[in-house]
Amino acid sequence: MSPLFLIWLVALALMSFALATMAALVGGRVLHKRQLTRRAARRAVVLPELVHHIGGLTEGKPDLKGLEGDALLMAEVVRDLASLVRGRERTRLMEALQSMGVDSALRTLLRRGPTNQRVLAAEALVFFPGDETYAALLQASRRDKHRVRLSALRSAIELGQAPPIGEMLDSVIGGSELASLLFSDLLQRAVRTQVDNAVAAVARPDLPHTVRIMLLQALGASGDPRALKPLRDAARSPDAEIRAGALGALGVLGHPGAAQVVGEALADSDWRVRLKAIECVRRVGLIEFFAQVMTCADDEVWWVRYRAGQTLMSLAENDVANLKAFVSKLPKPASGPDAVRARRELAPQLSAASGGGL
Amino acid sequence: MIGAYLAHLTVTVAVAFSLVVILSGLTQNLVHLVQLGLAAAALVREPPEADSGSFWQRYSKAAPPIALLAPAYNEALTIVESVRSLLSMRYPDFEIIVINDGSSDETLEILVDTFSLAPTQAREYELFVEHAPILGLYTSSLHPRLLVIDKENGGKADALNAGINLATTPIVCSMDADSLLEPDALLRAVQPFLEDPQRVIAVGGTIRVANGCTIADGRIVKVGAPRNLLALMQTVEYLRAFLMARLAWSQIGALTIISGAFGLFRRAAVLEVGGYAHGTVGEDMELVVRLHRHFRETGKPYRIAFVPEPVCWTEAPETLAVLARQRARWHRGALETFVRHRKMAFNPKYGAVGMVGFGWIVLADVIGPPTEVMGYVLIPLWWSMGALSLDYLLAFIAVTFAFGVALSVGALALEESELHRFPRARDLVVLTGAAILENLGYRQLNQLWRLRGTLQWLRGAQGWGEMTRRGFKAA
Repeated sequence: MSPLFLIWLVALALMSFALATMAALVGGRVLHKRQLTRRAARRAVVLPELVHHIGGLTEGKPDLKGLEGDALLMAEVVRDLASLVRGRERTRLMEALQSMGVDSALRTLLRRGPTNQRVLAAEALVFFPGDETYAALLQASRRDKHRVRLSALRSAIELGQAPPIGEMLDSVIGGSELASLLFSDLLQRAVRTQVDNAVAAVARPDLPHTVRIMLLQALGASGDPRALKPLRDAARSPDAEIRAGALGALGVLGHPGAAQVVGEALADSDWRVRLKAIECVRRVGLIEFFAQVMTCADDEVWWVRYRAGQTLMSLAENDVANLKAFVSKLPKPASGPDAVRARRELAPQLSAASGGGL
Repeated sequence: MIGAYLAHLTVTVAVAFSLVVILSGLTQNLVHLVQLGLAAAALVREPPEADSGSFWQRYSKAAPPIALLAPAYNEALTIVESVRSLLSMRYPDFEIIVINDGSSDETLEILVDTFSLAPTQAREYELFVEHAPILGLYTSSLHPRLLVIDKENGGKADALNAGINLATTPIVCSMDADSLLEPDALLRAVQPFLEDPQRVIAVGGTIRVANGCTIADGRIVKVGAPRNLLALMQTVEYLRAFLMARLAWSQIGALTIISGAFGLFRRAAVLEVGGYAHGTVGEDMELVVRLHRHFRETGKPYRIAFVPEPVCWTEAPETLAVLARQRARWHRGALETFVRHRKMAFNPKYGAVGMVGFGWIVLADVIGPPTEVMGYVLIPLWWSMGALSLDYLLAFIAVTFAFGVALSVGALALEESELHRFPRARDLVVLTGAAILENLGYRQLNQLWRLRGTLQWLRGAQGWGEMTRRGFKAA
């Protein structure tokens, strides 16, 4: 075979491959369109039948013409329809679907199938509470692609059956991809029902930094007073990021028992901690720290000054007269360059609130 | 004697040069093939979700606030539709910062009238990064998410810096004011930040050509192939660039550009490197390369990600003159960035971005255009002088042509197998035709424009050149 022939052969092979691929894609597109049309037709059969059933217009089981076995179709229908109805109507719908084995088909889809379909199945299963569903979700939340794991975890939590906090934390130790903001959101929801476990978990020495902060935030979001002590302890941690995380959580918790650590943190050497402490003052409404926050309005870091300005206005309930009254009550009125700078930082917010200057 | 020697020399030079051209072309094609493989693997591993119905339920609670930065310079024709489109985005917490960069037309007046804007002083900010003076800030009680910055002209990078200074969110989205975003663009693009919040510092998204699509109320309501031939070629080109090249490079940490038309950045990271650079027309690429450089040099873990789903639609030039200016400018920007950060090239200290990302820039942007254009001129010349074999010449042209078509078809296959954004089979046929046609003139013209960009860069040319916009036609 001559080199020339070989080059022509390569060119012809590439061209044939390209054209064959395109022909296949166009053919595939036609098939895909037919598939979509068929799916739309199937939905058109299932949806009205289920809507009639919800409204009590059909006796016994709804007649889905054998389509109840199409797990993907049923997952879509359940997701779209079940979230629209509540109370007795939803119960009626779910019982009918369950009696036709739809939940079982969804559990099978959760175990086998493309990632997107498994995610959909996990989301649809949230409407079928029960031991089998919980077991299937728990299994998927332990060993699957992370998108499926997160969806399964979310559904389990929404079913009121969050996995133990310790287990959830174990799943993200080691820097797995699950240690995300999405996981943080789920952890917050799970902690609400397991505050004692979460408080105990704070003491775990094996928690990575980011996961520990997530746990502190979750404790804060729980709104439970039992979270106060561990958060106060963490707010005195030698690690600035942990201190900042704990103060952020204390702000969300909104408990006045945080006052002492917040007071200490307002003078912290790390600006992130001061920032969170100021936010905490605003969220909890710790008016006693007005003077310290006023000092922070002259902080070297812009963010701290910005939040201090916001907080001062918030403490004064966005009322300039109130703010003036607070300032006048300060034991030692601010004066000199610091006060001038603080006023300058506050000026835009004050003018926004009052239409004039301070 | 001398004549024979000269003839021999000509043949030797011709053959050697031809080999360089062939080798360069083959290497580029092989790299494209690797890109195709990497992109396909990425799409199979993490298939995009066409149905965004559940996005809100999945991501809205964890989604961080985002500031959309839309620099506008003489955008009176399109600004209202663009801002309306932005205001109707589906995202839990976002702010739109339109930066009027000293427009000489009525961009600001139109914004003020349409959105009932009023001057405000209630927005404190600090000059974290330098920019031209701000003349005024405007907000609207009707649209609390909207902030308009009126500033002196300083260019796109300067305007973005002003927006970054005014933003108070952890993530900023840089975009072109004349682009159309998908309603769920932010929810899609923010996913890497949600999934890997410790490392992700920037996310790019796929930009698509809006020509040929049906647009209503600032939204793409029906996707279609452009009727204009140039726009059609660019549609295939964009698919290849975004769905294949950028997705592939992002998989190995070698992505050197996030399009200025849409990109999410962690604000703190951008401030850490000093914001957008002045004095370059490739500020989008320069920022991404500088982020790579900074994070590599400081040893901080980081990731620059890319989402393959279409998030932004842009109007592609439909005339040769405008397209030529755009391509020359893009090329100039790439060269400027390359020279600014040349120490990263082939430097193992910078990992994949130094070895692969910069290696690709050298091959495709530095060596590619002059070699290919010289090849177009010299190879036929040498053939006419009898220095090259016609049979081999034709065979190599055929291979190059077939490779080009195969790669474009590969990109179309990725789009069709995973995204299905073109609703009609006829569009695929039209795009296949474009994938074939683009090798017969368009590709060559493109190299010529890029060579012009090289010459402009060598002359130290600045400025963007005029970009004539027709504006998006409503349905």
